[in-house]
Amino acid sequence: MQEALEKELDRLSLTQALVDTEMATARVIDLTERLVDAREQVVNLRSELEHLRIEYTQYRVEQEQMKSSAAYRLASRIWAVRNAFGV
Amino acid sequence: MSDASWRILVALLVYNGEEYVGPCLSSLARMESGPHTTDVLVLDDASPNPGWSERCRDMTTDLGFGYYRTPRNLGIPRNMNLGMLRAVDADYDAVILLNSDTVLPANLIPTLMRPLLEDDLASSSTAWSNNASIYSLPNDDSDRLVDMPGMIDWISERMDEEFDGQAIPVPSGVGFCMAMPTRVIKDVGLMDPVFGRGYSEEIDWCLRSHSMGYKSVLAPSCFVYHAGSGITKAEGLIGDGDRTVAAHHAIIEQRYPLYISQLIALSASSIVDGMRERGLQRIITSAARDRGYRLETSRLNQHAGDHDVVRFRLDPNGDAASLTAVYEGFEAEFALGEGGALPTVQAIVGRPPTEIRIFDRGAASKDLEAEAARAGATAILRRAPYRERVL
Repeated sequence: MQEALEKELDRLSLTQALVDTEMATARVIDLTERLVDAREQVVNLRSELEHLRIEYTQYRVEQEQMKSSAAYRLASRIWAVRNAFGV
Repeated sequence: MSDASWRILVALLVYNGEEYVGPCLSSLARMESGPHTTDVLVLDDASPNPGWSERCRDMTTDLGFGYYRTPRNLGIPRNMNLGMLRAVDADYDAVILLNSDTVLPANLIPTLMRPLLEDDLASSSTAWSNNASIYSLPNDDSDRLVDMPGMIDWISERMDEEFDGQAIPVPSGVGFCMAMPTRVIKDVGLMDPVFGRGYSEEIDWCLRSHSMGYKSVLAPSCFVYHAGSGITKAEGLIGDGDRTVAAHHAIIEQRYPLYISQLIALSASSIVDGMRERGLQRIITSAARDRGYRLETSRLNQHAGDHDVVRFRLDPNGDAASLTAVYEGFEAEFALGEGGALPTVQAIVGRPPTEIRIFDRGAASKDLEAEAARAGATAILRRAPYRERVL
């Protein structure tokens, strides 16, 4: 009786192990595909970030140049006087 | 109540844990199946402790139970699956998945099966326990219970009297002792092996069944002792710094975003708290009725080793509006009636106390002494000669 039970459970266990292996393989393939997609997305986003950083630095430099010009300083003073007189 | 007769397979999952398995097997041998027929199958998941599997096999076969040792360690979910597959393959009507750190009451089968027999949409039925997530009747001294199978039977009988086969829908069952009909397993499938060596697999299964229209229920008429995480921690399956629990919770949250809010809603409602209060009060009052009880005024919850005495404790100054009662590690609160402590406990229990002890003086102690003197039936046996509390 015990032997028959063990045989039966061996059979069930083996069959299920094969199903589990098949499922695990499918899951590994699916996860690998999603990992590759996610990795590609990360690379694209990093590249976009670098471009934006460079662009931002260029704008900062331009802004500093404008702020240090005589025309900008004169305009600032005029603006302050207008505000003082409430114009 | 349904009078159907089911064939039930109890699948006991074993992985080492020698100190737990003996009491669990003994309780399985004492089980009364009622109108059902029950077979027990011990699934030893390739326990690595030298010699243990042989001893386990001998213990199991001596009791007339089936035994199977897997050729390699499968982990809890896949070992559960083996039990579920066996139940389906051998045409059982239901399977009970059981952890080996449990002690079962004699009335396990009829009380755990009743919700499944009465409701075709119930996918699982979980027992009430001292240690079953939020569905617990807390016990301060649960290590004592493991050696008191008669007490487990007695508690489960009291719970059956109190709840009379009620089934409470819950967000998920708990895998330490969970019954499932095989027709539902055929529909829902098996435990997901993604949960590796185990944790949360039964939550995933229950929630999967809910998405197909089934529901999980708690059977409060059935009380099972559960040591809780004893083996998984002892064997290093779950430990400090381990990410298993967090990872498995993350899978559940991703798959079932509403689950946590359902748990929070249940905890916030009075359903489980109310049942717990009823259960604990039932244990205390039944024990007090059967075995007598002591009424005491004390600032400390002392018990001097007398766990088996039912004690109702009154605040000596009368500051608390309730009486705290304890018995064998269970504790329940009872509202104090306007007539005083003595009439209150007599009304609750239906008989006078066998003993009154006054440890600390205070207004309520004085009133109690006066009430006892008027009643005249119960002697005040001891009065502490000094304050019980140091500061």
